[in-house]
Amino acid sequence: MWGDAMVKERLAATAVIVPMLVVAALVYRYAPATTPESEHPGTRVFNLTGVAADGVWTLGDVNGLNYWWKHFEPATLHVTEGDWVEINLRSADLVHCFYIPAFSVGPIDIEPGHSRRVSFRASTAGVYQYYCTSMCGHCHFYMRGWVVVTPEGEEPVMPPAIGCPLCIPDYGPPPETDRLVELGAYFYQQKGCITCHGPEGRGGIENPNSTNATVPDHFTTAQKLFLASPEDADAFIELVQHEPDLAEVDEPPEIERLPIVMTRFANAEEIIRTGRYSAKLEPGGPEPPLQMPAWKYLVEEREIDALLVYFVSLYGWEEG
Amino acid sequence: MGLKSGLRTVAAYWPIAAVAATCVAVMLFAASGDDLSVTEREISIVARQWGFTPHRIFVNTGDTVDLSLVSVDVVHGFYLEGHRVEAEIRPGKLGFMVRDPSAGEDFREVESIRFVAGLPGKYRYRCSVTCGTLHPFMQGEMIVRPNLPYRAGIVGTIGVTLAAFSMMLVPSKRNGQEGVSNRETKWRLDLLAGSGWLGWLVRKRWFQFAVVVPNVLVLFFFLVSGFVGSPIGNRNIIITVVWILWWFLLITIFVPLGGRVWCMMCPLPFFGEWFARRRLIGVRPEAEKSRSLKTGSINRTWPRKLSGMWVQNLLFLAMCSVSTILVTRPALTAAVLGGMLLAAVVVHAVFRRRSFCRYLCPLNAWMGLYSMTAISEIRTRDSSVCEDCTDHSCVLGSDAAWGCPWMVNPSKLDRNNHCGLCMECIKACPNDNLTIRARPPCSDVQIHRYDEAWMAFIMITLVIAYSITLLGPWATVKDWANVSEVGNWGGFAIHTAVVWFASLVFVPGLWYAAARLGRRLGRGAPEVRVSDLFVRFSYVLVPLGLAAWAAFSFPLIMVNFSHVTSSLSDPLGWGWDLFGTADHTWRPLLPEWIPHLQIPLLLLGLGAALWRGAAIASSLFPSRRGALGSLLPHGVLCSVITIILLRLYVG
Amino acid sequence: MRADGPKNDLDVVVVLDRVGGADPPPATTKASMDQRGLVFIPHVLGVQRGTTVTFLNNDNDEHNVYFLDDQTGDTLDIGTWGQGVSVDHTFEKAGTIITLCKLHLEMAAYIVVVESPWFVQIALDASSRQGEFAIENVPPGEYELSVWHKKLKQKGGPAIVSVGRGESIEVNPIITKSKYAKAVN
Repeated sequence: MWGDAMVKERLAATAVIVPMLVVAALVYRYAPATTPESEHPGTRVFNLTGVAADGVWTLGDVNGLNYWWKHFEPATLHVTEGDWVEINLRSADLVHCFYIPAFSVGPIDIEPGHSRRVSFRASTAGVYQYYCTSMCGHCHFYMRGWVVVTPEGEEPVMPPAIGCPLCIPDYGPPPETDRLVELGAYFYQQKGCITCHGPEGRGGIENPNSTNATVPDHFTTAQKLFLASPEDADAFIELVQHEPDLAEVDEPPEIERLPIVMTRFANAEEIIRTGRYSAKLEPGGPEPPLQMPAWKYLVEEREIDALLVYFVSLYGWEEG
Repeated sequence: MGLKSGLRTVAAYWPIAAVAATCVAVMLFAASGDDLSVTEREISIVARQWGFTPHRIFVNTGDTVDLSLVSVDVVHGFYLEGHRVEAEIRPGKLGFMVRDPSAGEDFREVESIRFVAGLPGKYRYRCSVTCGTLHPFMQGEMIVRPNLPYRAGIVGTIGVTLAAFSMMLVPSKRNGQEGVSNRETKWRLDLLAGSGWLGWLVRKRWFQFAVVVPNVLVLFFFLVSGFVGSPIGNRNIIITVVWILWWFLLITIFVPLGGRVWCMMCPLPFFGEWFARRRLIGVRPEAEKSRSLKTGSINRTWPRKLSGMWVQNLLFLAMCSVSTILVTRPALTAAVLGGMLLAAVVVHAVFRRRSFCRYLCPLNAWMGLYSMTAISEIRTRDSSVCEDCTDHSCVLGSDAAWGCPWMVNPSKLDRNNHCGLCMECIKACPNDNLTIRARPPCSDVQIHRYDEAWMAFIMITLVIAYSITLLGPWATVKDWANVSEVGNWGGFAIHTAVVWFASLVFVPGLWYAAARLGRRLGRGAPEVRVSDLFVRFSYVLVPLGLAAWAAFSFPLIMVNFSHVTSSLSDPLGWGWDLFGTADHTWRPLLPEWIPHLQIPLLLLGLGAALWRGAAIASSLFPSRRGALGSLLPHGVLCSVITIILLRLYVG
Repeated sequence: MRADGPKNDLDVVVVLDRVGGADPPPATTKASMDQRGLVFIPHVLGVQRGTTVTFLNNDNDEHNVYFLDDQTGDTLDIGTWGQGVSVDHTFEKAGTIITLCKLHLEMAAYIVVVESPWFVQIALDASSRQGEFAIENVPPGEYELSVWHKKLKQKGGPAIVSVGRGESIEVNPIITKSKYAKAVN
């Protein structure tokens, strides 16, 4: 059994097994998860992958298998003040845009399958947000996270991760009603408005380097529409509820300054339809990350009405 | 050749001349009924995952089109063939970015883009920014009227059909020897004659090993890539090479040139065969006598009931029902290929020889059928030598070679369907009586069994189904097929039911009607039954089907070729750049030429189908009229299929 | 960071309208209103009928100006323009004109167009809610003194005041919520 033939067999078997092992080893060696550290010693290197299905930039490994079943967690980047940071960015599905305005990182488009590297110095301590600034699906507006820069020797802050509540089983379908206020409340969260304009339209969400330092609120909408009293506001909501096309109102209800209210309502609708650009507060500074998109092709007209009457309903008249 | 015989020749061919004149007349004077005046049009196209609305737009040649683009969910692209318009559309913005892709410009932001509609024909607009799983199939159609290529295709179809029928009425030059049999003396070229390098090569024991092992390594790498690499189809080598490159090569090169030559180098049975034979290169006759796993394989015979093509027919149909999901998910392709590899190991351990390949592999069905069109074959040189042979080494094996792993009898081999070109019989034959021969295309015309006939029906139906689902502009159908992501199980059920019903019942039903009609119209051979016509004539769907599959695969390779080259540099989609091509922008390769490739291909397939159909008809019916009558309904069905395909591809 | 300042409710305009007699001549003066940091500056601008007001934009963003006539409800859009550009408008009719930007709904300003040239605009003190005003060089005669505030009304309605030659008169109007401001007859 040790003749020439067996030598050939052994050689042949080696010719099969060894290259397979070599291929496996090379793949392992050059995998993103096991890629060697950056050339600059002391640089913190992070691998972030954008996943549209979960609306996260994640530190986890996203591959052909786990993409379909795993729920990916948003990444919180912890670095020490003064660190040099490198981030290797990938997208697992479609075009995302990565942006850390605090350190002028980006906004940089990440195309699926292409890897991009950004680097910056975490010069100032603090807690900063990173964003995805290119609409990438239902969870886009929740695709944010934290960069925590901690001074040397201190305990890092642990801000809560921003998760997308839309794709969990508990988040239900639209309420079974035709009451616009309830539908508006639902759309306000489902379409992501809440992420920039705050819970119940309270505002207060920071928009770095924007002339609007915080994103405008919506709970003062009744005031902006020049509605004079809670009774007028309710009557106006009923008007919108029953008259889809406000221009064809035959018998207008008794609302003070109704033509003005309707003009302002039309202005508000148009702002939602065409979006609005937040200019930079400091021209040399970074672009404000939160920009109002043009919703014209993304929502129905009736949904815009629902959102606006929801905002009207939010006004606290006693404070007026 | 005097004037008289010359005139006689012309007179003999008058049907063809009449046909040609009619076609030209139809082509020139057909009024489309559309208003063809040049106007300005404003068109707005909405992009969503994964289709465009409107999915089909009509303009007249020379029209100025003012196009605005909108996306309603994620970032999409827009690439209009033949018109130098490439756009990037972001949701939440009222404008979009546009550029001329051939001029190497940067994108600029616009509200709309104006262009002039070019030459008549069909131009597709495709998404040019990866936007999710079904991105490669996201497309719409712009018809620039008058759609002359489409009209030419239809006229060509009618012309080819009528010409083929007319030719059947022309007396054959071979003094009454009309009819074609399997042993007809047609041209053959012995490729292993003399001391050529090919003969030397295929007689080496290490030959098959040498061609299979690279594919084994490639398959291994692909499986790794599918599981641990990027989930994005066009950035993972397993998708780009298997479903774009390899599939194209299989249809257009491997099968037409070499028949089942892929089976020679297929890595799937490699490990199973190795464990069963215990040899990679040498021969071990005890392996065939083994009855236990200790000595190799249990070597059972595959159950007779499962020995037909039905298992593979149904497996192929099942694979195609999920193909939209399969060809867009690297992990799923890896799972399927890995599963087939494991199944092959198991089957080799239990059953004899290449039972996996013969009875289970879905690809066996496809290749078995279409290998009949190939221009090469393995056959005996001289059948009388085999009659005197007592060794039967080609079947039983010897110390020098394995007996035919495909379980055919090489000495009696008369068609390519089950020959896997492993070259064992050539090595085994003590009389050197087996050889590889070149031959005219479509030389094998024998379909004798119902399961093979059904294979032909399934294949032709599937190429139409694929052309509608994958290459069509209908996003709803794609959503139905993409059930694991979209979740429309009702739509998926409709889609699956329609495809299965059409391929198993409807198309065969039409064929049966044609067979009955052909039996009525065919005269002079009362012993020929409807079932004979049904089965024998199903062969005509083979050349037509192969041409259709080729016409289907050309768009895939020409549009997606840059994905293949970039995935060679970045196979796992991790950001590698081995050859510098990883970051190349997607550029389709002359996509506006695709219809002009597809039309001649389909006409060629139709012509071959009718030509071979005529041969089959003549073998069944002695008279020319009788043969024509029997072929007529089947020929008409073939032209209808051709027109359907033309409508899908270019109309 | 924007302060609450410009949107405050401390601006009042005190006007003396001649009772009877000829209408005073329209003004030929100029005034201006700026837009900076997404607010109109000033929040309240009192002008005489006939004044031409220049609307500036010193903001990084585009702005729009349109007027809402508080009495009739009519609107007039005078355009949208970018940084550095300005547009003039002459106010030919007396009344309260609410000035708005249709791109930024939170922006609002008031232009109080009055008939007479004898008016003054002051800001009340935030804590004491009181303010002092002085209108000088008023020709002798009978006048109605009215106080404009964007929300509050003058208690008792416009007060009748007689101005004699060289006299100085003191008036202490009170403005309060409209339900308390009925005219006292």
